[in-house]
Amino acid sequence: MDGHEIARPPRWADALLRTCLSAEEAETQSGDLLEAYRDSILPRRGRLSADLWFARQVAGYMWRARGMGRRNWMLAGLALSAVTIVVSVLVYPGVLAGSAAAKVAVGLLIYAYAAVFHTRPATPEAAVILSLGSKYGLSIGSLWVLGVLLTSSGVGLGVAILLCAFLVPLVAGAHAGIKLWRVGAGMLVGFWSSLVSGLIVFHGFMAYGYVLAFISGIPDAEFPRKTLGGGLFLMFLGGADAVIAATIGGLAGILLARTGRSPKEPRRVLW
Amino acid sequence: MTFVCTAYNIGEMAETLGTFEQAVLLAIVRLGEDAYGRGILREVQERLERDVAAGAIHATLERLEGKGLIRSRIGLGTPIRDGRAKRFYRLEPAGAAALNDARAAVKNIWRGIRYPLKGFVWMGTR
Repeated sequence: MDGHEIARPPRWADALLRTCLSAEEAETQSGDLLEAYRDSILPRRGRLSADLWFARQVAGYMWRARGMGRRNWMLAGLALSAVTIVVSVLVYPGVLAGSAAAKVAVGLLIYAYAAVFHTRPATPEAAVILSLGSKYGLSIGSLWVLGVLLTSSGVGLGVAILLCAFLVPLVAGAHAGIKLWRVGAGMLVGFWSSLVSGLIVFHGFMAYGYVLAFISGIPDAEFPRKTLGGGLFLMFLGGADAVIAATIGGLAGILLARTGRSPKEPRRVLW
Repeated sequence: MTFVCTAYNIGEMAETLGTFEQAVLLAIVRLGEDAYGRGILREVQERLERDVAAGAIHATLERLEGKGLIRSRIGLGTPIRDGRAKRFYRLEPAGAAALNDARAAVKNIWRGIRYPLKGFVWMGTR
């Protein structure tokens, strides 16, 4: 074994690469990268340039891993929600009654199940649904947070923004219906958007509540107690609204898209 | 519940191979039994005559395997890679069919046009 074969790429880069890959991928793909580093890059470019090449490759892996990151973000968001709820219950005992805590736990488990098992789409159609759901979820969640903040600050525009947040799931469902010709696609986009927006809303509410609670002079020091309820309400019941609205939107989108089509147009499956 | 892929040519999109995917599949064909990540990376770089990111190769391999165009198996590592396992790839019949279709499509769209294009001047009015 000559010098090049025992030369090592930067340890931190190798470790970083392993964090953004599954265990099996880390074994085989880091092996490929190490082999390339030793058999061709290092002999041709020298140590410094080869190390830079390796770091650049790892950056590329991390950039591409953002697709997988969707699942990780969702799981991280759900885990943070669970921690926030537990901390809030400890700080404000009795904030969640026994049955409410059980319902929240079931809701979180359903979201976690979806995030773990359905965020790596097996078909192009599922990929479109997931992508649309994530994008609309980001929009809906941001609109809810902004709308509530503005409304609670007495800004009239907040009501209009809340109305938009309420209506965007209809648009999301219609978009999916027109694109994929299935009402079920609208419903699924509604589900994903409710998950993503629910996480944004919940964390937005809780952050707002805790910031207010810890600023001296604010009269309502137990604000997180209220925001916890509001956040959870929007996270789950608001999510149900998104699913229903998106399903209706999906049907409406398909009916709209069918308008003007030839009677000879092949019949399509709507569900 | 019936799941049918119907709109926006999604079914056809799944079958269409991009140039990079073709390069990766053809590298697997050329390398035969020795088609694993590092070898495929080297082969694709040589054929495309440019530097290619290893991550792009692995992402493409994963996508092609997901489409059922290739299949992989884990093999033993070697000292140069510190004994880390290799993943070997093999073309599936669907992959061969997709490559044939891609080749036929290129031939069809070039039919009647002399290659390489030389001195082409825009003759339309502006």
